[in-house]
Amino acid sequence: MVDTVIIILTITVTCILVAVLAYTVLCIIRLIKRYRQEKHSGIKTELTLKKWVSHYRPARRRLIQVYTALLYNVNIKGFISGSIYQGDTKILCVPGINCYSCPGAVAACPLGALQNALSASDKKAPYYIVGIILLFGILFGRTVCGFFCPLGLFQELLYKIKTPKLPKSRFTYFLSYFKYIILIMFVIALPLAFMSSGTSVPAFCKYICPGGTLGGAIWLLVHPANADMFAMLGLLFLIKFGVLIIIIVACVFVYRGFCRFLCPLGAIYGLFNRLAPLGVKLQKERCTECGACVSSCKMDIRIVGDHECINCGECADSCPTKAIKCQGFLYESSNLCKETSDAVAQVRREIDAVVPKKSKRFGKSAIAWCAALAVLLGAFVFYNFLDTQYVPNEQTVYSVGDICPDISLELYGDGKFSLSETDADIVIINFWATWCGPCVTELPEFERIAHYYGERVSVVAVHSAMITEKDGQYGVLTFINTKRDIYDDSRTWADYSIMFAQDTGDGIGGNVYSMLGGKSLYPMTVILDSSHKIVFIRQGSVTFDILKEQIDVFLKTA
Amino acid sequence: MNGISASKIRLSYGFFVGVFTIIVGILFICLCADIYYTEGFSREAASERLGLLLVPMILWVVSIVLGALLSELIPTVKTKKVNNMPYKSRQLRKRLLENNFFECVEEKRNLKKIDVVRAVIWLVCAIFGLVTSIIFIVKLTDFGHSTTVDVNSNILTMLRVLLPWIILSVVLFIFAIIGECIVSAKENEILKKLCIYQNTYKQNEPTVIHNQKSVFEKYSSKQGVFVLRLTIIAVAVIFIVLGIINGGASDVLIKAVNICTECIGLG
Repeated sequence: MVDTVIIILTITVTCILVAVLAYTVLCIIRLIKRYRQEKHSGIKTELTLKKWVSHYRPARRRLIQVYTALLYNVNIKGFISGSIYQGDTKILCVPGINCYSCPGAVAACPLGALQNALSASDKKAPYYIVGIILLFGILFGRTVCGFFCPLGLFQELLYKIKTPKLPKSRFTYFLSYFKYIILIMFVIALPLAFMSSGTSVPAFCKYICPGGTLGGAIWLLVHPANADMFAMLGLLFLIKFGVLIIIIVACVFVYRGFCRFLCPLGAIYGLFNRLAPLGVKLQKERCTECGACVSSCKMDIRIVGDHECINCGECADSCPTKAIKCQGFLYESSNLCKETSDAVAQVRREIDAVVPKKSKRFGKSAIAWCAALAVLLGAFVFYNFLDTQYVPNEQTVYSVGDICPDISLELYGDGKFSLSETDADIVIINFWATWCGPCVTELPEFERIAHYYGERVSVVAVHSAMITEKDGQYGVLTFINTKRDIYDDSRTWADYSIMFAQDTGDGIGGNVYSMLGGKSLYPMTVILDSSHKIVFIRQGSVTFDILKEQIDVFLKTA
Repeated sequence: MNGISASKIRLSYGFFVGVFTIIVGILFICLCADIYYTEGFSREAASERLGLLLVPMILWVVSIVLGALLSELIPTVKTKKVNNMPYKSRQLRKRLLENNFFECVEEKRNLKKIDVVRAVIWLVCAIFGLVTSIIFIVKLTDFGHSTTVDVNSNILTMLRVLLPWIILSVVLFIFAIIGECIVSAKENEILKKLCIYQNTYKQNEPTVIHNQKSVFEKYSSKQGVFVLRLTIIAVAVIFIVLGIINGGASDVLIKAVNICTECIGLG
């Protein structure tokens, strides 16, 4: 069957490219027409490439937005292979929203990292991610929203679709405070509430964030190699997909609908907006409070530079007294309002008229762009060609129908698990991790299965090789010894009949998880029959009923 | 092509694309729900259903491209917005009230009444919001005693209790905004009168927009902001170092290099 998903993607990309080409051709035709008209009317006009570029090139802000979106997702190899990047640069966070489950993402998302850190804040204070968000906030404020957020760029491009638009009003102004409620409820309160149960719940990412669905899920599902991921989709995907479509449609009619009303990261950065050195500032000495800036702004600001201002600088031209100053290297020279008196400016103009300026070949702006492009190109070459250390290991991968080789793993507590020494009819291997919420939720189901089938089924829960602490106060062993059973509060996981083992390697290939087809997705469940043939592999959560259904079938045929 | 017919074409096109966008969005959601409720998600089912949406999607993309071409062929004439902000400005109100217009006692009394009405409206809204928040916090603390760690069922249980209060708060919020609009309209009328009065009777006096700050005030506020910035930057750097030491940074890496199934809706 022809894969319609790939066809739609190809057609969409082709249409966009054709549209861009057609637009460019139209611009050239329009400029030539204007040149001919002016020539006919006797006005001297010089048609140069420089003039055409300066008239029709995108604004600097747009170029910076596109640049940052490309830089955050420069791992093109990920889109081609259908897997995410697993290198060390993911220890860093980008300033804007860019889901780390996106195949191209080379760094982490601050919002997702914050929620996960808060979920585990009873074990470890979330210093790192709070420090990063503080640093971005105090340096940039909401300039991040206006310049460095790919989701903001996406919304602005959607807004360009020529439909009637919903203007801002008192309603939208008050609604803009809703994002603070989202921040408190979904980003802070819910992860902290589930902290005591040891379950990581990134509630905003799980239920609302369109960045994850669009940047992560859609791109992963489109790839043919991830066809088995469809088995994991359920009600949660339906809800998230619905939320994504609603936000996309809303952004066509409402300027930056997600940013203004829902984005908790914008809410956090907005608190620092007046303190940040970069951004749009109002010079109160020059301001006559005519309100032209507020009228021309599409965000719900009350005053330029307040917590709603994304520091785009588009209001600067509307100010009749030039009271708006755009501070920083991000803004075009026409936005800049140098803090000089009119008299000084007049003297400068008189001097410039008399003394010819030396023409500079390369301005500071050109040098900065060359450096930025060099960084982007360097990143592209590094992540796609040079960074071979984190390519999925070329080990033999076993799938359903293959005979599983002998596995030998260290058990938590005492002893070793060896597949060859197991004489159960069915062996279930569950790959889990303490930092994985769904894994922690489903593991008691395996104890129920082990209890139900007794000696006929042997269950081993293998912890991911990616751990910060094996032993110690916050280690895996402590987790197992202290985690209460949800069905019987007097028991802990240490009292379970299932075995807890530790996977080998560093988590990126060379371990049992990768050998059995694991693709950086937890949890994963593998079922082996009595001859150690792999009969079932499932990436994602399972329930007691799903496991029982599978096991009953295999036991009948055994 | 004259201006009126051009604007009619643009308007018609805009409504057409707007409605078409909504329809395509609804079709996508219905398709997803159909797959979920009939045979469950699979690549084959998705491919088959998406085939039905292929033509509407292509038509939508084509209509957007046409819109871009239309905007080139019939460019919009940018009109300067008429600015009514002086009458709506809070700063203007403050400035007008600071000037002692003894003849405007009636207007000042009315403004105070408006303030009281506004405060009552938002106080009622805030009270219901607070009650909803308290119930939310109480339910959150219950999660620790919950017999099930199924996150979704816990949140659904909480929502069932909270839903009436959320609906009530939203309705009150909408009424509060309507009230605010009515009250602001009345306020603007009074401010207009005060402005006219100021312009008529105070023509000879120069309008002082802001008191110019003294050099000391300007310097100390700048200095204060600079010190605050440095302090926050220092705290941020210390936090980052502490986070690297206590393993928080490694935890970020571990989560980031694995696909967060919950985050991208795989569930």
